[in-house]
Amino acid sequence: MKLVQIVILFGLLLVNPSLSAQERKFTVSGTVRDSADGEDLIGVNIVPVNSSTGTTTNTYGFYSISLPAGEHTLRFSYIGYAVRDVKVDLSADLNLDISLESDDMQLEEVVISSESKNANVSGAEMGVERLSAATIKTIPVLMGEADVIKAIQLLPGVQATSEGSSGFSVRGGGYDQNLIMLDEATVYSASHLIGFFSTFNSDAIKDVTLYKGDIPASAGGRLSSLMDIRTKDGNNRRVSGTGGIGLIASRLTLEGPVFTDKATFIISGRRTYADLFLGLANNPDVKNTDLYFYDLNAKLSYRINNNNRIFFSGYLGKDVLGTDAMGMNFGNLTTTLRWNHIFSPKVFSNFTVIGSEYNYSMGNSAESSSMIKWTSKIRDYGFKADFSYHPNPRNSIKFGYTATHHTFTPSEAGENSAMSTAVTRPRDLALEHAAYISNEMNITGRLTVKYGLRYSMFHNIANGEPVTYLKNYEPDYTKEYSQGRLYNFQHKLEPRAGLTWLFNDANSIKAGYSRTAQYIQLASNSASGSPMDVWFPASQNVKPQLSDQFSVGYFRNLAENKYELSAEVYYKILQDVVDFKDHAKLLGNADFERELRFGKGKAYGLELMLKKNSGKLNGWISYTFAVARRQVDEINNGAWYRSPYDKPHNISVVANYELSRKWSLGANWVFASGMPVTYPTSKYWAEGSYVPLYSGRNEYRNPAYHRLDVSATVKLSKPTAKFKSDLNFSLYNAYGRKNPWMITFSQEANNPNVIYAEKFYLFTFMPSITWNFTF
Amino acid sequence: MKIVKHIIHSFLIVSGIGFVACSERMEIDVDDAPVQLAVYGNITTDTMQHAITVQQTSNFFAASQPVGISGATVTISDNEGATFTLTESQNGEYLTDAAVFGVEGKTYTLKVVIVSGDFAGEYGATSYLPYSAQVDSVTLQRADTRTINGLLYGRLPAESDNHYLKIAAYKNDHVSLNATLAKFNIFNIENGSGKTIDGEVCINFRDGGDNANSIEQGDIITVHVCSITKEYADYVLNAQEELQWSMPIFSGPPANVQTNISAKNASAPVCGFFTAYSKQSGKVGFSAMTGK
Repeated sequence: MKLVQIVILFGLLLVNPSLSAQERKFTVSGTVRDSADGEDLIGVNIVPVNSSTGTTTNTYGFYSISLPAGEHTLRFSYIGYAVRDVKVDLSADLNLDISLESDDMQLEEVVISSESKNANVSGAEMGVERLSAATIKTIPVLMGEADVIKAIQLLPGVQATSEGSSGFSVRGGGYDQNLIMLDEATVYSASHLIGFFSTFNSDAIKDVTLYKGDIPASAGGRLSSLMDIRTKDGNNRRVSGTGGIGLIASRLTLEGPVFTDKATFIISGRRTYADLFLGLANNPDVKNTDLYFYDLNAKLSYRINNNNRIFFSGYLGKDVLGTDAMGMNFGNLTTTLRWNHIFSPKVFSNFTVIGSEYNYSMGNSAESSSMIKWTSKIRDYGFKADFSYHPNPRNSIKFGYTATHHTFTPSEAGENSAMSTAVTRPRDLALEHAAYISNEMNITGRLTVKYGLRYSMFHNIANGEPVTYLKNYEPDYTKEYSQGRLYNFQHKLEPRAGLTWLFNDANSIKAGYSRTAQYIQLASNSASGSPMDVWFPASQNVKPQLSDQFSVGYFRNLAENKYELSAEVYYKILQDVVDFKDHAKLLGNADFERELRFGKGKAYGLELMLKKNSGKLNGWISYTFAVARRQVDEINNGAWYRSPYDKPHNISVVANYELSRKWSLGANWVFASGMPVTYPTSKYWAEGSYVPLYSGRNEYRNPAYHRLDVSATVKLSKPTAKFKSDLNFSLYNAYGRKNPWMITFSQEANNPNVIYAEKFYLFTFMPSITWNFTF
Repeated sequence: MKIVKHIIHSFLIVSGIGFVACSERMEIDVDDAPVQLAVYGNITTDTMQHAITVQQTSNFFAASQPVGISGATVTISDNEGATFTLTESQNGEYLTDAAVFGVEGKTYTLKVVIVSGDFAGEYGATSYLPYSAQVDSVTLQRADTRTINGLLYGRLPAESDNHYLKIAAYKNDHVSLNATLAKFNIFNIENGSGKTIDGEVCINFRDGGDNANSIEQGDIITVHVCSITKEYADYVLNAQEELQWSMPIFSGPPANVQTNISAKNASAPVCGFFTAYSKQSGKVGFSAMTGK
């Protein structure tokens, strides 16, 4: 009944009084592309001149707008591209594909945002950050490897989980609360080399969007954020390439048409080669070390006709680490097959079949007398159907259905012997699916509302093993289900709503509310995440986590959109938050559900950002005040405690300066309050050791974190050259701040009564040089 | 799973972090925590003087020796009515007579009574003394160029299904190789009633060098195989988690190790552990090497 009421309400909201007068309308639709390489452009603003109501291209470059019969001038605008006005005389529906040319004035400058020039003010979204590949490449990073996630970590409301890590926390959420999608496939571990590099090769990326609070109804399954990464389709004009040779890694991307204007390809690969240098070492431990990662992105796009396009894309990444005695490897594999179909100029659809896998294995050598082998895997098969319907200029409706079959194989295994027992946890199977509908309605030229609903559902699937029900974290009884049977149905209604009031083109206020549910999570009791964490599903013993987020923001553009100013506040209420009991045993524990503890949480904060979009000097300054707390009855004596992601003060300064046509400079400085920690405060003596006694959970903080990175890029070729190259010099942690990565406590060798703290720090003064080229 | 953790740590050292990490001492200022009473000790099947320490906790960074509590009445009694009274030795250490030993299958109760001062009150704990594993022999086998494995031959007791073993080793009778709370090896064996132990690796040594567990040709190695309770096994494992290296990407938040000492009519909190266990030993000389 509740659902019926919601559908009726939805329909009522759709009826817009301003449209009641009947007038004959026609629809203009098509795709907007880059004139140079034919790439679809995401987020292009299309507005009839002298009108305040327009539309934007979707993630496939498609747009649709309905207008009264007669003459109109459509203005296509996209930052970094020349504005294009196109006259149309409508007497029937019109298919209009548009190419935009790069703005010559801005060609040599860095553009740090995509979309239309005042999209941050006029758009109905808030808590959304977009980064173009160009922006990502201008930010100085570790070892000179342009990195999507390291760039994301510089945005307000986003924090790195630890030094050098690819894990990130959004508005106080855990790193497993971020849904990372690469061409719509979930990426379960976005890191290479224990997090020092992310899995994403920036040469293959077209667009990255991070939804910090305003997660669209089409996506769900995580509490905190959605990171939507789209790869390039490939140049449909000519074969071209991009690459780079750095100190520890090289990369090469090739793209081009297969059949002109019909099919394109892109293939992009990357590999590190630190292990080649290790072979020169004298130390046999180091000499025989495997230490590398590689990844490969590939995509094939085929335009059947104006109404049908197919995309097939895949990603394969692998890390291999180890020595003669031990080793581990881990990696992601994703594949996506998408079919764009335009049912009518007003109805765009996309059907997707998705496969995703993350696996790792670790162990010592077969010759070892105490053999340990440990493997884990999560594999998804999914299907999505997404529809966009543009019934009139004021409404944009999206609806669809998504289903994912999860297989969790956390089969930690040792060896059976008289003194040890192999630990094997049977596979967990689950079905996660959801239906959604949303509408973005421009009520007046100034007021836009968004409302939507996601109905998410989750079932465990019997694997033939008895299912154990816990009571007070101890086994209570077991139940048997026939293999393949769905059980433990859990479901949540997840409303999403937003409102934008546009004072004028440069000034708006927005408010939003979103509820998100999370049915799968990581068994990891560290704050930073590791490749060996194990994903596990909601179950008869684990409720889905729930988040309600309220946010309000003020957005203002200055100097004709040259400067963007924003201020957002948010408040999150979390239910059934998963934490782990003291001394939780998560490694090789077949019953780790007994180690879980459940509670509640809250997070609130303020995010300020001043961004300069263009000019010789551009970049942004952001400040975030953030608080994140948890309360679990069995932890910290039931008192509220700081979440590991509670870092009240965060500052990021990112600057790029175009020194000349040949030289450009970049710098970023970050400051963050120290991570919450639990310190030992007293001790007692027992059997040759001092046993520590601790403060309350996360009662103290590590020293504050700050770091400056700088870079300089020199162009080695003329702008008109076919083969262009540049050299990038970068220095990570330029003033050598010794930020603690971990703190340990040791006894003095000569006097065991003396205990001292020792901090380990990484990456002081890390220089790098990279040669980048395009042709 | 201790081995898994060891692998993780080792692999990290060789796989990158070891190449870029540096360390230095740092000052940490923590508030003084409320002082607690710490009671720690055990009774074993060995015939010897068994010790119970009664001390107060100190600030974590205080460089002084632990402060003992003097004047306490300390007794250990079994479930058949026998009671051993301990006498005060030094700095809060209380000792039984040299002829005292525990008996497998009995339950022992520790009682500490303090009549005056901040810790006045009655404190106690109880522990079962598990049946011992039979030790037939211990041999050494080379694992690789630097590692020597200690192999155990024997049999698990038939009296229970689940067994918890603590392995502690000494060289030349008195030099500890791993005989500290931070280094004991703990094994948890499920459904092992009466099972034969046929050359299982129970401990590793370093061939030469100056590590705590280094042995050299000619050394005589004594391996103590102690059958312990699950509670004590958990205590040791949790204590080791707190005493060993922790890394942000693999370590959860630290937490107090549990105590089985309870307090009655006492105002101060109490910590520590009392346990009973059986002990068997095997000796081997480091010269008769087997394997490659």
